[in-house]
Order: sequence, then structure tokens, then C-alpha cells
Amino acid sequence: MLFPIRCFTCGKVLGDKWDEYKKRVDAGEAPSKILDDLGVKRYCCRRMFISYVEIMDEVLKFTVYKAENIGEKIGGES
Amino acid sequence: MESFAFRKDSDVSGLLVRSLIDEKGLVRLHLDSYNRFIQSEFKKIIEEVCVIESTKGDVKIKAANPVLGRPIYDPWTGKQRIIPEVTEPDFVTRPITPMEARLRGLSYTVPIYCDFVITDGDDQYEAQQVLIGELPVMLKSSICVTNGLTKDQLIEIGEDPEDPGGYFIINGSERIIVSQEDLGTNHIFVEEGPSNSSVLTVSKVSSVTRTANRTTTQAELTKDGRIYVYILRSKIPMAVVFRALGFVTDRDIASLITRDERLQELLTQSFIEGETLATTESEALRYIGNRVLGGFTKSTEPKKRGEEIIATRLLPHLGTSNSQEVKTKKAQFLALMIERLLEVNVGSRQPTDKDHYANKRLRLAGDLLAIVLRNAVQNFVKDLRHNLDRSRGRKGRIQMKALVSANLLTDKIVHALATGNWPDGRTGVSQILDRVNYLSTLSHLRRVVSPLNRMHANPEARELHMTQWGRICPSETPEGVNVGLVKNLALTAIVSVGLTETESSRFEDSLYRRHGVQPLSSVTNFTGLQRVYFDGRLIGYHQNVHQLAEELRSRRRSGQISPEISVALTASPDGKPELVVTADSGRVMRPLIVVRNGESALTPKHIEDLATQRLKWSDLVAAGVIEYLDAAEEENATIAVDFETLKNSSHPEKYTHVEIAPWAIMGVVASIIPYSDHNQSPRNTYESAMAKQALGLYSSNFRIRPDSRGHILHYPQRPIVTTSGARVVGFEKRPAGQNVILAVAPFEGYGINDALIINKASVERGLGRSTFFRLYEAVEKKYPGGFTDKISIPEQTVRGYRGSKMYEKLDEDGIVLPETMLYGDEVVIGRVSPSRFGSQLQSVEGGGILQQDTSVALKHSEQGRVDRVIITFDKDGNRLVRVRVRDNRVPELGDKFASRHGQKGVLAYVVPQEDMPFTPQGIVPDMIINPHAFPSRMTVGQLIELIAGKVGALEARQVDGTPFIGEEPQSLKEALKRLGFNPAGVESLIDGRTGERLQAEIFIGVVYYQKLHHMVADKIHARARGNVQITTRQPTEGRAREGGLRFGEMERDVLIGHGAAALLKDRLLDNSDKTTVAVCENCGYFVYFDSRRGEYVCPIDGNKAKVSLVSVPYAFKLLMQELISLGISPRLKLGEVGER
Amino acid sequence: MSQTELSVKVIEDKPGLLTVEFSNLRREVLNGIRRTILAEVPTLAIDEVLFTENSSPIYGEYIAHRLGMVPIKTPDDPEILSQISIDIQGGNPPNMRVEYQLRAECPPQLGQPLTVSSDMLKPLGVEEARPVYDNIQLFKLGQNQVVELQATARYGLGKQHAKFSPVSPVVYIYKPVLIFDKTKDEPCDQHVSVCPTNCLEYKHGELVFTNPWDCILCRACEKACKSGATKIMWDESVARLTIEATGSLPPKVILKTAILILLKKFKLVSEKVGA
Repeated sequence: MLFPIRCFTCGKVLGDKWDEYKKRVDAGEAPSKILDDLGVKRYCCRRMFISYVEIMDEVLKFTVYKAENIGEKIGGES
Repeated sequence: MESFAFRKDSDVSGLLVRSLIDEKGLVRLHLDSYNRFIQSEFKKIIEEVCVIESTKGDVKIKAANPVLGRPIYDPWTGKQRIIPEVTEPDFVTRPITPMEARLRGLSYTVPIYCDFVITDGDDQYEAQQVLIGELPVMLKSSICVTNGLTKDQLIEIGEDPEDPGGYFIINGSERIIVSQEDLGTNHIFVEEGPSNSSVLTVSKVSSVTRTANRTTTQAELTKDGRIYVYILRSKIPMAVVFRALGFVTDRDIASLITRDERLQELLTQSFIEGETLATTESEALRYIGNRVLGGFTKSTEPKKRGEEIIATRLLPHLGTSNSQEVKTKKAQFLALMIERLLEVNVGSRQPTDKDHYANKRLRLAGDLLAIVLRNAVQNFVKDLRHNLDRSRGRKGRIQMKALVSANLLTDKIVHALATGNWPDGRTGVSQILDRVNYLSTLSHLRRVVSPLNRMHANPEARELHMTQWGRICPSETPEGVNVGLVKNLALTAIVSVGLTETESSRFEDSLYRRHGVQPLSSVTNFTGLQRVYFDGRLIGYHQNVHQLAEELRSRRRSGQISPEISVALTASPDGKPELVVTADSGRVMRPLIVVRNGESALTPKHIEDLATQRLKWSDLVAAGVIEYLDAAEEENATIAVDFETLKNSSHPEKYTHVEIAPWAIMGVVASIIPYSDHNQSPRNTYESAMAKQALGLYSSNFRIRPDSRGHILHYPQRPIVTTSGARVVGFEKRPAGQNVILAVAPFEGYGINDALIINKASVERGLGRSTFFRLYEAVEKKYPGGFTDKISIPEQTVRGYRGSKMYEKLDEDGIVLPETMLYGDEVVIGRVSPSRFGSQLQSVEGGGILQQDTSVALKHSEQGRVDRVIITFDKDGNRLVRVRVRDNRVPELGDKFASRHGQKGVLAYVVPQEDMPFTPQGIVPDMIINPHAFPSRMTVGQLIELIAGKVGALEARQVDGTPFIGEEPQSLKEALKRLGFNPAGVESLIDGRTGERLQAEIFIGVVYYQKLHHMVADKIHARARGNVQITTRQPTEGRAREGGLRFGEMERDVLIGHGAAALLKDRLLDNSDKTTVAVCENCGYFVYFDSRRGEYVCPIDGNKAKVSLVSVPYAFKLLMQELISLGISPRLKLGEVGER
Repeated sequence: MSQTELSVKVIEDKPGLLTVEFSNLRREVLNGIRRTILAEVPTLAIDEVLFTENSSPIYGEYIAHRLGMVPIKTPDDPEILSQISIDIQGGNPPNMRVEYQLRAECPPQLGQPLTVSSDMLKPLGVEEARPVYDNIQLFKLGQNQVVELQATARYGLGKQHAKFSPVSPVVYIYKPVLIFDKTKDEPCDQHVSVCPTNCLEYKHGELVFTNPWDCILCRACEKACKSGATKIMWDESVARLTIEATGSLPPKVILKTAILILLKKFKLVSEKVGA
């Protein structure tokens, strides 16, 4: 759910490279080139980037469900 | 991050299927069905069934205008609308969200209000609106809170935006109504009679009205040439039934049935029999009234009974009134049944193919709820009538509120949904929604079960029928008893909702008026006329049905008539074309691209507009570019598998359609298998079963969901080798697996028999880690008489006290604190309840109430940290405490993993990284599997996936492994070479232990692996000593009861074979249920010990008995006593060892 | 190859990456060094986390595991390190510990999740034992969520847990050798074109390496050569060892420590034997 800090396979530290990777991919750069630039050359490390799914931001929004708040919101002004 | 685009080839099919699913969702079938139900059927059922007459007949109450809920202001849409509500114990009603229902164990329902019109004699009172019950609400349906909310709003109310909906929340648990496969209703089926009976041919129709009133009518031809019609299981001669319907003379009947004289001949015997029984209409009615079993009608007069039966029990789908118009319709339908019967009998027509999907209908949530509601309302009416009769003595105006018990209706419906036991006798109709992972949820919602008997072989019904192409997934079905009976819908399959009653009759009307269909009764000269059927009925004749079919199809494509209407041409036995038009519900249709004059109606412009979202799926359907075909109409179609085929064909004009996506024949689960077209077919079936057990992220709101158990993978990844299906379905947003560096090699024999070898370092870095959740709950119940449970730390004096150590993790309020580590048997929630006999004992002892410890403890063999404590109130206002415990699961020996090709294995060796072989780049495989896994299983798909995964990782892109159209293995190999690797996917490895280069090159690459939810931590079990069962004193069974390991028959055989008698005795007696009994040697019965006198007493011989002590199994002692209780006298003869 | 004298040549020496070519170093010794680097060179890593507050949906085990994965600058004295390794293996782990503190709170006005990076992991006292990288994403926080924790780092070995291993990979390759039999050869350019790393050349009727170290020993050329003239072998007496460090220790220190550990072990053995 969070980007792994290390490559599972070889242990290379990748956690520091994700932000830059994401920024550059969003800017439209080719992922393969970014990874080359970042020095991520082994396929074990590369798969960590391309197969990562960012779901944490969504998960973070679910903390405590307070029924009253929601319930009050609905029908509150009926 | 959607920048990793596929190659162009698959874009078209991917785009089309994506636009379909984005617009309609994968559970559209349930939503449509439910929405239709609450829109129309629900009202009709209540109005039809809810008519109450008091037994004296003076007061009549009729329900009218039932409505769901009351409009409430909805802050999200800013509108007044109907949303689910909950009634709290203090009778306050307020809106509820699905998450609140889950958390508090409530049902997600909407109240049903109904007007009651009361007539007392001639007086009619003002209608009274009363709450009559509650109806469960389907999530994401038109009356669900979530309807029309944005992603952020969904998150705000605690819902996962990717949640498909289509299920109910009943008492806090998510339940779905599984689609039931059914033979088509209101359609005639002809089959051969059973071989050993006197019945030659049977013609059957299951007649169902829109309000779920169902009866079966059957006509059969016997060996003696007579035809009978079954009404309510009574056998009535054919001629009698026709006479009762107003067709009196033999000539009328014969010409109604068929104009083929050869077939008319076959009616002779029936007419002769009919002559003797009834010659007039009223005689016939009387005959039927007398013959048909009573209990269905109230009247006693035979003719009246006959009329009523004919009206309501014979083909009710054609009408339930007594008018001649309806009767004629029924006679015509019956005539058609008999004509078909005769045709099959003479061999000019084949018996109906029951497995043809054109003859199948799916009964969905709406249809099934209709059955429950009908039954519940009938019960409700019965209760209401009872209450009405009782209140008749009282004076004054009838108060509906006092008569109605709203819980009755609610309880009936909720009970059916909560247990899955349907009023029509089916079981397992509703099931708990599978939440192992996102795919399993979707697959569960698209499941179709056949009601056929599991025990019966039914080989044909289990086989894949060619008409299932594009409708039912060819791979996804369970193994074993349910093969082929439990199925899953294909990706693009669409289920028809059916026309409403008014739409249907308007359409039928247009057939007569606009298209020149001549109604049956108006035709006298049949030459050159061709038959037209609508929804199973022969409705008339037409000069040229080919032309009519063309007209209807073009009207359908131009959106003038519903896209659901099926127009199929068939041929009658004499070779004349016939037109079969169908518009009922539950047909499985599939979308296809229309081909006009050899050219696809879908143009590049459409595709471009679709890609830029200027066009939607429904626009294409409306424009006639895409149309839905059911299995009947598909028989007339010639479908090109892809555009290529169409383009390269020498006769492109012979094609009528093009497939939307060749891979869309697969279901939700099977479509995630990459290169499945390279696998042996059973492997895809195995994977379809296993993918549903893979751990992943089943829902983004898992942290607040009160699931009774659940697993979350710590680092789920989307597959590098993916498929269009996986993307379209949403698997990449809620993945369940990880891309693993896999080497195919032997490793010290630890990989034999599908064992897996895993890199210890990979595991330590997070590979395959997951968290397991379990929910414990306790209710603080209130009992009659003012007694109540108390959630607290129990006092030492309480009965069943477990010792202070077990309670030490509890906080002052009797509940554990979050983040506390708990081990097996430790108390999670402390609770004391009044003892069952407390109230009686109280008076006897005069002291406080006797109390019992009913604390909830952690499962014996589990451990975990307290994750979350929820304190709330349930529907009865009792305090409800739910504690979720989490446990970190690191892969360990015995955990189960599987690739996406049905290749499962168990972890057998966790190898230190330094011992693992490594490539020149320094890559150490995460996992090693034995090469023996491949030759016999022929999962070539996995080999291609491995290469594709390697290429994908190196080129930093996802590879399209969609079956039939994915990237070619050859181009992947070329890519691998370009990237500096051996194109075969092999690499030279060095052994980490010896430092030698391995002689053989090793096949190594990236493969997507799934961690399955079978983990040793949940299964490991052993015992030395422990509990015994109270009845037999033998060790308990099963891990949950900390049971012993069975020393079974085969183990016993081994010891006998070895002659190890002492060991055998040790196992079966000494270490099991050894007891000592006292036996009287005179009479051979057990004696008892009189402790007051200090001696043994024999019930027969008194104290003169010669008593010996014998060691026997307790189960034997029990057997003897049971025999005695049966009146059998077993006696024991004792002797010395070795004596005979 | 008649030469038997040990020679060592540094091929590449960059921060975090070291390639050394050994000639005539026995395979067992070379592999011993590699294995020692992976499993026995000690580093500091977070091993204990105490949460005083955590209101995020990310549970403690998850965060703790991630903290463990963060490489931490370790004092780089090979002598001390090798002694620590010997001590740990002898059952006397050093008492050295580094405490860290972290408190993060996502303010409600932020409007997006707060990423907590490794620079927020502040060592107490031992200032140099910082995380190697400042921008490793440790965890994220949603609005109003707070995490407060104390972490303890200690020395450990790669064989205890992969997080203590000082290298991402450490790998060696033997020198590839091309054996080409001119007499068998039939002219074909298959072997050259088939090579994925383009390390072959056809020169004067003879197949030669352009650069033997580029060869990955995949034997594609051998299989493509129908005449059987081409053969790819390797020379165990020449090997290149590449150490890619995680950053907690410089590669040279790692190599030296590993060698010292081996020496100390041998010394121990000889002491035990009484020589």
C-alpha cells in the first residue's frame, strides 16, 4: 500500500526514489528513462516501481466512522 | 499513472469493454432487477395479495398505493429523496448509511407504507396510511444513499468508491442474492416421456405472472394415444379442458390445435374419451371442479370451482379473469402445446434442447425478492384477517395501526435473506458476500447457479453448451459435485430486464397495427401465412416474416423499440419460416458490433470519440452500432471473430456482426489470467478457483469495516503482465498478489511435489506479508424480569470464572485496550450474565443473583494485537462491543502460494539469501519452483508470462497478456535480446553455497504470485492430552476443540498387520476412553456401587453377586446401556485371559 | 593461466559501488567473502519501535517494519565492526543502541496526506547515526492523524535479518572464455548476431570477444553455432566482485570488515586448536 522502502529481491533502497519517479512520470516522461536516470537498472528493482499501486491516500481517509455525524448530516435539514 | 499504454491492437476491444463496464458496472444485472422490482412489481404484489375480508364478509380491507419510505432531505444531492432509514428502539426513525448498518449489526432497509381502504358493508372509510414493514435495500440501487454521490462523498460516508454494490446488508452482514438459472417461463418445452412409463411425449410450460404467481401446466401423450392436461397435479383429458375453455365441438378443438390432418388423426382417442366425460362447457367445468384437489378455492359448488381453477390455475400468465377473451387465449396456447407435442411424437420436430441458452432465464434479485415478498404479504394478510376478526366485537372505527403488525412482514423478508431459505423451498439463495479479495467479490456477484440436483449426474446440463459463448465463462466453475452447475457470467454478458406490462402490450399492439401481423382469430385463409410468436405465445400470422424481422431489427437499431427485444427466425416442421419475438426478463444477451453490407458499423471515428469520452457505450447502442443478441437471435447471426476476419473475407457480406472482444468470453476471474489461451484448459479452471482465495486489498475502507475475518496484503502490486480484462474489471486498483522473481530450477530436492523455495531476505523485506483480522463481539443483553448482562471484569465468585490471569488484559470497563497483545484463551471482552436458573435460585438463597461468566475469549490457537474497539448499540438498544484483533502474518513454512496458471505450491524451504543462486547482475530469485511443474500440466502461459514479466520490468511498462490478442511471445523474446538477455529467458547463475557456476542456464524472470489464505498459522495443530467428549469420553475432534489426531481405520490396519497388539490396545483403549466397570459374573450385568454400604450391588442378584472389575472402553459401556434401554439384554461372560 | 600469483585490481570505485578483479583467488575464498559480506558484516538498523500514539490507519507492525528497512549510517571502523560481528556470533551482542524519536501530525488545513520522510527520524545523542537518505517515505498521515514513536537501533547481522545486511547485492562473475575451433568452423554470422550483449566479433575468420566481461555466459552463440565450433566457458581463476552498498557503510569498509571477520574466525580456530 505504501511504496516499499527496499527492493524485495536485492535490497536496494528505493524508498528515496519514488517521489522523483512519480513526479517525472506525471510530467509525461517515459518510465524506463526515469528509472535509468535514477540508477535502477535491475529488473527486480524496476518491477517495484511499475507494479506499485497507490491506494494509501484513499485508505487514509477512512479512520473512525462516527454514525451520529453522518446521520445528522442526512435529514438534518428536513 | 495510466501512462503505460497497451499496443494499438487490443485498444479497440479494451476501450469498448471498458466503456461498457464504466457505464454499467459489473453488477448491473442485480441493480436493474432490483430497481425494476421496487418500481413496479413490489406495488403490484402488495395490491394483488393484500385484500382482506373478515370471515363474516362484512368488512373488506384493501391495500392501495404502497410506497417505499418517505422523502428525506439529502444533503449530498440537495434533493428530497427516498433513502434507507432505521427505527431505533425508542421508535425514532432516522436515515442510515450502509456503514452504520454494518457497524451496528442493523439491516439496511427502507420502510413500506401502505394506504388501507376499508369498506364496512356499504360504508367506505377514508384511506389510512400505515407502516406495514421494511424492505431491504440493495446497495447502489436507486434508493440507496450512495446513489449519485461523488467519490469523496462516498468516502465520507465510509464506502469504498470501487465497491460494486448489488448486495444487501442484513443484520450487519453483507448478503447477496445469487442469480438462479431457470428454464424459460411461459415458453413451451417438449420432451420425451420417461422410458419406463406409459407417457410418450410431454409438453410443459411453467406459467409465471409478473407478481411471482407460478404454476406448471403440462400436456402429455400416453401410449394408448390419449392426451391429458395436468392442472394442479390432476390429470384432465384434453377435450374436457378445451370444452371448459369454451371450445366445445371436436372439430373446433381439432382445427384449433393443428391444420395438419395427419396430426389431427392422433387426436381421435382423446376425443372418444372426452365424449364420455363432458360434452358441454358447464359439464366440463363441473368435471374439473370435482377432479382438481380442493383447498385452492373457497366455493363448494363444482362448476364455480372449475371456473375459478381455470381462471387462476391454468396458464395464469395469460390472465386470471374469467372473460372469454382470456379463455380463448388459454385455449390457443394449450392448442399450441398439443401441436408441439404431436409434432415431436411423429418426429417432425426435435424435443426442446433444455441446455440451449435461449431456453434459459436468470432469476435475479428482483424476481427472487418478489417470491419472498409475495409469501410475506400472504402471511401478513393472514395475520391481519385474524386480528380483524378478533376486533369485530369492538365498537368504533377500525384502526389499521392497531391491526397491523409491521414486524411480521419485515421478519419474514429478513429471515429469508439472512438464512437463504426461500419460501419456494430453495436453499442457499442468499449467501454472505465473499470478501476475500476484490475479484472474489465481483465473481460472487456474477455467479449463476442451476437449481438442478447436485446428487444427480445431469451430465449434459454440466457441459459447456455452444450457446454459452460470450454469456457464461468457459473456465470458471468449481470442481467436484457442482461442476457446471455453478457458473459465472462472461464479462460482457448482459441480462435483460424485460418490458413492463404496459410496454409489452403496447409493443404487441404495434405488431398488429404497424407491422401487419394478423391476429389469430381474424385469419381464415392460412395459405402463404407465416407464424409470429411473442413471448412464447403464437400471436398471429404475417405474409413475410423475413421482412418483418428486418423491419423490427432496424427499428430496434434506430432506438424506436427497446434494444432488449429479440427477433429470431426459426422454421416450422414443414419448413415455413416463423418469427419468434421475445422481450421477457432474464435472458442473457451479449453485445455485438453490427455489420452492414459487409462493413462494420463501428468506425474509427466512433473509437476516437469513445477514447476522448465524447461518446458513451449507450450512445453506440442507441446509434445501432452495437446491439444485444440473446441466444435465440444469435442463431440467425454470422459473427466474425475480429475485424481482421471481416476485412480479409472473400464474402464479407455474409457476416452480420463482429465480436466486440474475443477475450470477453471469459468471466471476471478467468480474464485476469495472462496468456490463458496458451494453457491447458483445466489449469484456467483451477486458477479461477484459486484467484478467489488470494490475499490482497479487498476494499479500501477495510480499516473501518467490521468484517468477522479478513486478510490484507501489506504490499499488493498490480501484475506487470496484465490483461485487458484485469484492467477493465478494476483488478489493478484492488490487486491481490505480487510480482515475484521466479527461477525454475531444482534446489536440493526441496521443490519436489510443488513445494516452493523462498528467499529469506525477500520475506524479511516485506514479500508476502499480510495481516489477519478477526472480530470478537459481545452484546450486553437485557432479559425479561429486569435482568441484564454486564460487560465488566467478572468477580471471582462468578460461575465459570477462568482465573485472574485470563482477565488481566482487560481495562476497568471490562474491555481490552487497543494495541494490547493477546494470546489464546485470554479474555477480550469480560461479561457476566444472570444464570439461566438465577431467578429461581434467588428466592431460595435469598442472596444476590447467581451469575455466570460469559466473557468472550480469544480463539484458543490464535494471537494478535487489539486493533480497534467499537462500542455501539444494536437494533434492540443493547450495548454492543466489537473488538477487532489483528495478527501479522509473515510467510512461513507451509503457507500456500499460487501463480495465475493453476500452479499452486506450499512453502517448503526459506533459504538464507547467501545460499541462493545469483545472476551476473546480482539478482537472487525470490522464489524457486521445480521444473517438473510444467511438462504434464502444460501451463505454457506461465512460461510466457515469465518472459513477458522480465521484458515488462526492464522496459518499465506493463505487458499486455490478454488472451488471443496479447503481445506475441516472439516479439517478447526479441525484446529480451535487445535488452541484453538471452531471448529464451535463461540466465547463467552461480550457486550461492559453493560459488560454482551452475552447469545449466536457469529460466528466470518475473511472475505474478498470489498468497492464498490457507496459512499454517491457522492450521497447525497437535495435542498430547486434553479434553474428552462428555458422551463417549473419547478425545474431542478438530483443531477448534483442541482435539486429538484420529487413529483411523487404516492406521488400525497397519498395527494389526504388524501384530502389534499391545500398541493397538494402547492407542485404542489406554489413550482413549478406558474405564473400569464392575460386572456381576452371575447375571452378566453391570453392578453399581452403594457408597453408603460400601459394597457393590447387583440389580438382579442383590449383594449375592460375584463382582469383578473389568477395563473396557467407555463407549462400550455406553453401548451396553443403550441396548438395555432398548429392551435388549446384553450379558457379559467373564473369563481369564486366554480362556475360551 | 599458469600464473598462480594473487592479483587484485580495482576496476570501479564509486561511492556506494566497488568492483574489484581478483586473479588466482580461490573460488571458496571469494565466495566466502561474498557470503560474509551478505550475512556477517554488521550495521545499525532499527529493531525496536515503541508507539506512544498512532491514530493513523497504518498499523504499528507495518510502520515498524518500514523503519527497520531504513539504512542507517554506521560508524565505519572495520576493526570495531568485525569485532562486533564476532561478538554477536559468539552470543555477546554489544550494548550499543541508538534511540530515535519521531512525532508527526497532519494538520487539518493541509488538505492532502502528509508524507513522513526519513529526515524526521531524529537520532538522540549519536548525531551521526542518521538515516542514509533523507527522503525515504516512511508512512503517510491523513488529516488530524498523529504518530509518535520511539525507535531503537542496534547492531545486527544480515543472517539475523536482511535489514542488517550492508549491501543491496554483492555479486561476482567469473571471466568468460571463448573457445573457438577454427577447423570445425563453417562460415556463418549467426553467433555474432545472436549475442544479446554484442560482445562477439568475427575477425580474420575467427570468433573473438570484443569485451569478455560483457558476456553473460548465456550460451546463445554456442547454441546458434551449428558446426559446434563455438564454446563458451569460464575461468574461475579470474573473477570480478561487485559490492553495491546500501549506504550504511562504504563498500571498501564492507570488504575490509568481511575479510577481518574471516581472519578473526580463522584466528579463533587456530587458537582453539592450540597452534
